[in-house]
Amino acid sequence: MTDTERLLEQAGERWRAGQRTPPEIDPAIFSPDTPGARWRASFTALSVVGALVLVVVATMQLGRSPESGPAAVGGTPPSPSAAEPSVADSSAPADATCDVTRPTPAFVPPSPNPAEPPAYYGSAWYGTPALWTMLDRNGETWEHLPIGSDGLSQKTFWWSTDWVPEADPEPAITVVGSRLDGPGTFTVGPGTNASADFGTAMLVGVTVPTPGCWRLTGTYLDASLSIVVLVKGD
Amino acid sequence: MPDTPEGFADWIRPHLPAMARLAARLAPDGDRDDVVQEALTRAWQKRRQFDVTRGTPAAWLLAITADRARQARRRRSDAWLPAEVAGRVRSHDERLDVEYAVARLPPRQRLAVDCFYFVGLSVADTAAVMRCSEGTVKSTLSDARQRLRPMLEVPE
Repeated sequence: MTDTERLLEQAGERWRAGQRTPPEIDPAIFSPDTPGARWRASFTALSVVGALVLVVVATMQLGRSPESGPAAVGGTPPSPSAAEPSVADSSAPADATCDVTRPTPAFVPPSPNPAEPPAYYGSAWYGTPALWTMLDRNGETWEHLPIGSDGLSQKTFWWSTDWVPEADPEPAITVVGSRLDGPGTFTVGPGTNASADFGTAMLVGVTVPTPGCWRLTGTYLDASLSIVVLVKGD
Repeated sequence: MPDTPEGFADWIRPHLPAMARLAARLAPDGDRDDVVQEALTRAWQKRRQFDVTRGTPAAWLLAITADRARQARRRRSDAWLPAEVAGRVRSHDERLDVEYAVARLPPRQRLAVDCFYFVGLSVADTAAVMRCSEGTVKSTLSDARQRLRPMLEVPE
């Protein structure tokens, strides 16, 4: 064993020794009466309409490329596709009809940016060199968000090869939100900067007025990038 | 896979300490129990997706815990700032020196070190959390040690 390994093992042992014992598992959290399960039960009861919507959506999806890549980079965002729910669908459960954007194909930024986010985010880059963001590999579902008087708060992170943090610490990036399954819009900007283990990003804090299925369009310089996220209000 | 709450709790219980350590290491201070709670609920909801041919229960649970920790980090504004380590200074306390050095590793090397040395996971479970092969974990740990050596002032 090398000295470095010894130091690491000793530090790890000390750290583990300082950890509190985790609380005992309460099986009640696995009960069918937990909120999540209650929601699923409601979903089941309502799923006749929902299932029909899903069938229609799935059928329509067959006609479009599911891996078509980022939407509207360097141009204006597209109009809502036929597969996206309209206001008329607002009574359906949001995540049954919300076609969240998945980062497929994953975008690989040019060096020196990391080729992919740290693994424990379970995410991938999505976009183009002009503007990209980080998305959960299964699409973004935001839940347990802080709730304020104006809505639910979340941070969004964006990167661009055209952005120089030192020269432009408060980039003129905007994020426009448009709810796809009901009424609602918001616009925020400019951004600020944030550094973490994924590098330095343009940070835009958004306040989503209501839970639902939302399209977010980030615009920086001449580039735009649209994503669809599901916002839960639990 | 047990399908009763009590049976599921029994099935998870042996893995709870590792889940808690992983949550404590990857999530901001104070969120550990919330992350574990969310991971337990998530595991219960997804229990029918567990496939023993694709990995061990520990690996599956730890991957869920890591995902929940990621969500928690995203919710916590201070977790995004480098200030979480910026306040530390080199000292005569060897523990702080090691933490200081580990915090400055590239993300994947830091994750490997956190999982393997601090959380105490096996190479296989670390690979599950990192979503890579065991060989990649070993090489990443080797690279991390190489990078840490001068920071820890360990002689060549």
